[in-house]
Amino acid sequence: MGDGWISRRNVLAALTAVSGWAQLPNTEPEFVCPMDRDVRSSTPGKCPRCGMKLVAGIPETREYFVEMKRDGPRLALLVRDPSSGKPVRDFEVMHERIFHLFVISQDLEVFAHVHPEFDPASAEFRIELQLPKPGMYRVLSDFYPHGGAPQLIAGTFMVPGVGFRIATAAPPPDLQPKRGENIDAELLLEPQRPLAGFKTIMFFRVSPVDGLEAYLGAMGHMMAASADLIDMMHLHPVYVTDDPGTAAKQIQFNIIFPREGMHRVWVQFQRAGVVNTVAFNVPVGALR
Amino acid sequence: MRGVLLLLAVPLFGHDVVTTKVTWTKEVSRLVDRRCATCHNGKTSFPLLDYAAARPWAKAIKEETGNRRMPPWQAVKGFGEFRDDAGLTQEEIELLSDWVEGGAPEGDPQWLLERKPATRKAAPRFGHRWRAETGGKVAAIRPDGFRPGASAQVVAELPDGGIVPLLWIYRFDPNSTRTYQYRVPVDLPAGTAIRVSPAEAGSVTLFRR
Repeated sequence: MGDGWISRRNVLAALTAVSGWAQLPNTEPEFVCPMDRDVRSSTPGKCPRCGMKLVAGIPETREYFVEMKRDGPRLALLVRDPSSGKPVRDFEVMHERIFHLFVISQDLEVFAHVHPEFDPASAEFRIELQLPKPGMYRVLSDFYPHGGAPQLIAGTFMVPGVGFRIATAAPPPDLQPKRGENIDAELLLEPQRPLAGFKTIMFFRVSPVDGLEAYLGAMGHMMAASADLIDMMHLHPVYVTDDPGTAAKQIQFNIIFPREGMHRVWVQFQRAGVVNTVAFNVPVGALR
Repeated sequence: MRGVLLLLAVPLFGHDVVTTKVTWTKEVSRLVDRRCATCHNGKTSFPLLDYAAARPWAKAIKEETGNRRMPPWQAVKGFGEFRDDAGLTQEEIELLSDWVEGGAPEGDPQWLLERKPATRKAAPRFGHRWRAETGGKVAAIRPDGFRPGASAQVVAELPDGGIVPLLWIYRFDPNSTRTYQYRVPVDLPAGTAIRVSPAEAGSVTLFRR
């Protein structure tokens, strides 16, 4: 049996602390996508949403530590196991990479989805980022340590400079259609005015459709962040369909915004080898 | 006519439609054990330890966790790294909201684990203040005099120009104030300035040990 399988209920807790995945005895295995937890199957296979290999059992959440060092444009990230404190060197490939890093500036103007290189000697992931503005940058480290469950670990670094101050962005709503490098994207919301704590369906009407293809194993990637950069959510489409009556594809994401307030939503779609990143500002209300 | 009345009456007594695969027995009970049970155990606060007790609170669980009022940790994740961080991860918040919005189903009891709810640890005490004149390693930080409801970031401005995130308090609640212990002590040299932004939110005390 592979990682995450056990045979005795009474050792479950101890083993899950090591494996990250647990299977109870005398039960039919259920296979779960490590990233899209609502995707389940009674048979092994791949997640239809993101392409990741389904894993049997219940994911056991343990937060790994990510230590960041910044030296000018050079950023180094070291992942530590929360149990042993040792650097992690073995990672599963997730969406064609072993490490995805999202970087967002406090004014929400800078957005990067990059893939730092692993340095086996130091166990660090390294990348150079040219960040033009002083201020606070929030990051989300997305990785899948071998023997654990997929991680989305938030972090923060500061870029010093003239005029440095921490400030929360207050962007106006922006739901207008966007033009990317080689696609057009229109956003339709259901409901039209999203409410915190309730499901919002976000339909992106993307055209032209010829050459539209998966980017890093999914037909789209979304990063939705509250304007204060406390909430940062990474999602993949649940459905991709032809848009009736138009020559567009309709790419659907489902999201529950946890809090009210403005959210900036970046989506990435690939067409003919070109990655398009477009952003919208979505106001989220509260039920009173 | 009787048939029509019965049909009309069904929604009033019906259960929520279940539209999620997240269940109490698989995922939510484990999360509650890990994150909520130190208080919600029927002794410190009302219990949430089993489905019958938790289900009536489902909507409140979604709202309180989504708004980050519960657990009352108050420190934003990824801004300083603390021991025994009790804040929910974004995925845990999403899991709870998916469960509640999907009808808060119980699931198959065979998936329920032997319960090992987390127990409350004694909070470490710190008595030696860190001072900017001498510098040194900071083991812990405590908000002091924060205004109720205030949110603020605390950073260290180093003499070499570097800026280190120390603590981000979100909607300060004086009833849940605490001292945050760093996972790894933060080395701040002499001459480091501690800034609270916005300054009117309050101040902090730093401890060497």
